[in-house]
Amino acid sequence: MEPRWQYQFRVIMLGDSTVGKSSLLQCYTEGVFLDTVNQTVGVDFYVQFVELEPGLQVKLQFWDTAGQERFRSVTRSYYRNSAGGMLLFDLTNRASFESIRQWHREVTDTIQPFRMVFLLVGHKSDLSGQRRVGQREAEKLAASLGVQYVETSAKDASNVVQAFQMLTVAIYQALQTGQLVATETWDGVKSSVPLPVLPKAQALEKKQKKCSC
Amino acid sequence: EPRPAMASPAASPDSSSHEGPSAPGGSPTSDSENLSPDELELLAKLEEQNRLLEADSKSMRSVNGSRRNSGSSLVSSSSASSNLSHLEEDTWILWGRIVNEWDEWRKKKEKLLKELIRKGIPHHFRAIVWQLLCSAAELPLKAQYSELLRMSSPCERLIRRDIARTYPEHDFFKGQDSLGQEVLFNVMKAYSLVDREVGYCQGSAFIVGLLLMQMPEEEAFSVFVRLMQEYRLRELFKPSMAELGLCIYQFEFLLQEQLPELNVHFRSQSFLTSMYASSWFLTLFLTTFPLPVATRVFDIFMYEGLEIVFRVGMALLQFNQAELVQLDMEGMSQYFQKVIPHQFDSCPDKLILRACQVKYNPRKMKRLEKEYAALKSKEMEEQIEIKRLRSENRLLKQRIETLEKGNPRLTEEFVAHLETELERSRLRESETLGALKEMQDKVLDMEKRQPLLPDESSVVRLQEELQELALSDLGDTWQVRHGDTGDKWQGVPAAPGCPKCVPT
Repeated sequence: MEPRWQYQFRVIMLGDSTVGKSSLLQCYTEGVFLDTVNQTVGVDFYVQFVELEPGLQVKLQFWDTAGQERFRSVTRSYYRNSAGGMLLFDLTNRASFESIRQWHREVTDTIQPFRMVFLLVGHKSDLSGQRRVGQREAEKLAASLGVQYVETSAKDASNVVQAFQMLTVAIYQALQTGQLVATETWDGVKSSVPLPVLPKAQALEKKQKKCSC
Repeated sequence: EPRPAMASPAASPDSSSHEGPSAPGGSPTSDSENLSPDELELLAKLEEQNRLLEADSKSMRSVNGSRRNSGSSLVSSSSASSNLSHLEEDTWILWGRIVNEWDEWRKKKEKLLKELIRKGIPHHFRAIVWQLLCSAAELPLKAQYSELLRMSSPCERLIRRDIARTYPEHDFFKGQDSLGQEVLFNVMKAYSLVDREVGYCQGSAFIVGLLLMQMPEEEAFSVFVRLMQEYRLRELFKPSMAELGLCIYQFEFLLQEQLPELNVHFRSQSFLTSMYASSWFLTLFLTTFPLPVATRVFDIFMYEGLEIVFRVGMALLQFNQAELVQLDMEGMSQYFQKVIPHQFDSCPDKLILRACQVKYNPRKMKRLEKEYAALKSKEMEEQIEIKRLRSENRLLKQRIETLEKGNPRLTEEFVAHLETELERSRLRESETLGALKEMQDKVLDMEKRQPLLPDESSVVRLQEELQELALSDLGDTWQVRHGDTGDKWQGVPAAPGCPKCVPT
């Protein structure tokens, strides 16, 4: 039986081919690391529940996509209905780090004027000997994109739960601040409870009241 | 539910429903293709075999059901019980004859050949029949294969990364140094060298992998090149992947036309066709079904082309419509990922039979292709326009930013400039004032000294002297100036020709 959830967020996995999108997802949703999995051809789908705070259940739906550039003609149609994006690169693959900006730009351009909440993930942290991307430069990139950064490994399961928690919290906060707005016609966020009254809207109301006095 | 055994090729239910150009009219195959008594007998036996296989698959769960243990036995008949062995032998005899008399079969017994392929090519004949079906032996490129292996390709790294992720559970491809991985890499690399535009595309390695399970790498390379060139695969795997978009568009048309209720349900759930059908087209069901089922579909693909993907896809939706309409987006996604792939593990014939009955009109598909091309080019124009506007927008934004940032700077400069100007003006003013003061002092000084200057009478006397000197005009001026200015001497113009008269 499915747990009762208050929110449902849809998240898309983004990043170059073989950075480990499917592995990270499988580690998170199934708790396993398989050395060899089929390459993703097209789009796959996963689900996971997370309790943000006691009593606040969030259901996460994931689109897992093929990373090769030419597949963007297919995956592009999944951007708009995603509230969150996991921007993944492989810590041992410099080129995958260097295309993060392009991924970010590609998504934000496609969905504008709407927004998506991103998390930058440096993956395969267990292969420390083969690291080609420094933590500081990754943090710098994250800061310049206005997103958080975390390093994960599906092999030793380090930071995997934390990474998804971070993104979930970030989406939740974006809803609170009005950066993301849930609507009937958008599948990125669904809510079984009334959405919080946005501080922005409150502020606006107060202002209006002031004006009428 | 019980299903009838596959009808005989002579009275195949689809030979009348199929509207393709290769099968016009409805006259039974055996009449038009003049089968010998031997062949008719063989066909009858094959019928019997089918019936037994069907019963067999119902009575016992197939052992080669999943991809995990599919390595050794790819053909469904190999799982059948021993009472089928003589029929198996007959099938081999028939296929042996087909291979030996290939040209004749290809030209004169096309429909029968098609039926036999739909029933499945026996495992041992697949390598040769697939090569014959796509004329791989006549490929000129084949001679270059060993040379290509010595070259290096820009796609090598990408290919290398995907090799271990292609049939990872299959014995032939297991292990980093397995023969399977090595030859798979070789063929993918060789292809990327002969077709720089496509290079390497994810998904295509599954097709090559299947070929390599059947034949040596050089042959697999030739077949793959043919499939890319002649079977629309090249278009599917090109960087734009435009053909995939077209296939999805065409498939959506069939869905809307033949399963309208399901289509409405998909739409209401925003369940995109590309979610479930992309991999069907890109890997020809090789990543959907276990290999024994997928190979049966591939047999047909080798003869009928991409059409079989539409047919099998529609058949799958027909079988599962009732369940799918009960599910939401998530439920459907999981149903497609977990349930559908194993529904036909023990009865691929059931799927193939239904697929062959699907209505498919090649002319309509052709029309849709044109429609789609028009749609795309319009979309492309709009995209270009949007891109143009977007970059223009970006530039304007940048300009605004620069101006906003630049304006205060300009004002500062301007103020600084004004201040300097003001300073200069003040300086000039004080200079001027100084000069004025000096002049005034001089005037005062001169006024003080006035008594020392000649009085009016002496001026008159001087005038007279001047007149005497015949300088009357100068004298006039002198007089006039003096009259005007009274006591101010400094305004007196210099007298030409008499510089000595100018007061200093």
